[in-house]
Amino acid sequence: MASPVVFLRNVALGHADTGGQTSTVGEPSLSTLNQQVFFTGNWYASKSANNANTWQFVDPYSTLPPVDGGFCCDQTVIGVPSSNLTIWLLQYVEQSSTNTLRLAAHRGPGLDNAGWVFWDLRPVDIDPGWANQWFDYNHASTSNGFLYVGSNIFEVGTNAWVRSVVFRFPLSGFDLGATLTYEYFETDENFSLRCAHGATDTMHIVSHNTLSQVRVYSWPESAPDVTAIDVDIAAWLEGHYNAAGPDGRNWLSRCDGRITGVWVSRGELGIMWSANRQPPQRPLPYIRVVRINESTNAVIDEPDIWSGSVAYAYPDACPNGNGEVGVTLFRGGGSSHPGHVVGFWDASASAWRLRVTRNGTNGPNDNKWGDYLTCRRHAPRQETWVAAGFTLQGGGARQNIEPRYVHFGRRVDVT
Amino acid sequence: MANQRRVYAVKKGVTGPAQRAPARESAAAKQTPQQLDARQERMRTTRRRGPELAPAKETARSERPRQVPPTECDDEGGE
Repeated sequence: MASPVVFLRNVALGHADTGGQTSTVGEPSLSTLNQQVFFTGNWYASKSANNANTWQFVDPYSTLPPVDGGFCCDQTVIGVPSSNLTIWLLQYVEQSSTNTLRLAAHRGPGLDNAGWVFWDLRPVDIDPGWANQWFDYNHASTSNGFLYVGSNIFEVGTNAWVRSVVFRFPLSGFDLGATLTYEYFETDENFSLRCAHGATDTMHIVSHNTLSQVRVYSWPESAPDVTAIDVDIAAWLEGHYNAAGPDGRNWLSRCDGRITGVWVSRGELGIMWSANRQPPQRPLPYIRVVRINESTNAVIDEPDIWSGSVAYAYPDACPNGNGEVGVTLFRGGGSSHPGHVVGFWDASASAWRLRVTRNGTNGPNDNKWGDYLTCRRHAPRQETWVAAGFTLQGGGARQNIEPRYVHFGRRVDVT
Repeated sequence: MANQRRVYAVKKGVTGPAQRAPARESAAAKQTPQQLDARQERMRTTRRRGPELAPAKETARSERPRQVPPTECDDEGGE
């Protein structure tokens, strides 16, 4: 029977497309705007003007002028079709007791170098009390009128976590030459805040309180404050993750339980993250999923993604224009090398529908993998999604990483 | 649910003026394959994390996710 998940595009990026600057900690991200695709990894970027038929390498080390100790990593891109914007986040190496989170924007097609404008955020410039601190692990999302950027802040030297922060920027403010106004809130109670995809007039932001409770922050576009409420969920386990593949490589050595996928759609808030094994019910690491009623904060259900023979990890999810939820994740372990998977939540059957985009041929030689994947709504085909993934092909070194662009949809919507 | 809404203050800020990228890349900052190999080598097998999460408390919901059947996954497909 044909898979309910249809690939409209499922293509690899080659060595020249990435400048050979791949890492097994791949961290791919992407945005689409008509025929244009912007795709980033941990240390490379690439653009396509023809729907991923051909790519042109974009060097994140040198396209924008370096700051601090130079470009580091952790790139994120997101498209804002309503504003004709592509947003690019870049993190720079800590130097002189601080680092920079750069927010670059390009309006319109082409993504020519000179079309990028950018603003730099440094902890100490935001709040003098944040001296000797640095940003790490950033992500982005949007609502009707704002761009949201979340980050974790660590102390220089000890690298101890200090606070989590979410900024929001009015989308109307991205003008050439202008300053950007922003609002932000911070907490030292919750690590790694995660913003929802699919938000309209209220952004929801989620983090763990304990191994059986999440905190849901709500930030209406018109509100002067953020409020939060705690929601009990079923217990889960974190700890050291292990799911060695046939070559013995533990691709989950860096994995943890931070929330990586949040969406809001049809009055429901969805949350997902990588959970550790919990035998006998969950014999391998898996994707913990919780769905919450947006109005009442009652848990609707907890439809985990799991298997008795293969581990799942590093999920991201996003609603399409019809409110259907797409997902991207990895699977691997046992007889399987790490492979890339996409799919969607089949509301009519209350089940996830998944399909492998590419099986890997190896695990990472040094057991390093992650740290995130990306799923976005396609623009302009709003009933479909795009995902950025990667696998190893022909070896276990960083040079064997094969990034992957996948445009996919539900069979009932696209055929 | 445990539940009273907490309120968090929102603060405001402003960046410096926008800067424009140069039309040509800076050659000085380009990385060599050897530099990238070294970065891969230096990368830690454990990520920077927050504090360890407090242990779970058993709740009325604890058993419900266990009833979810394993997820099926269709195998590799072409373009």
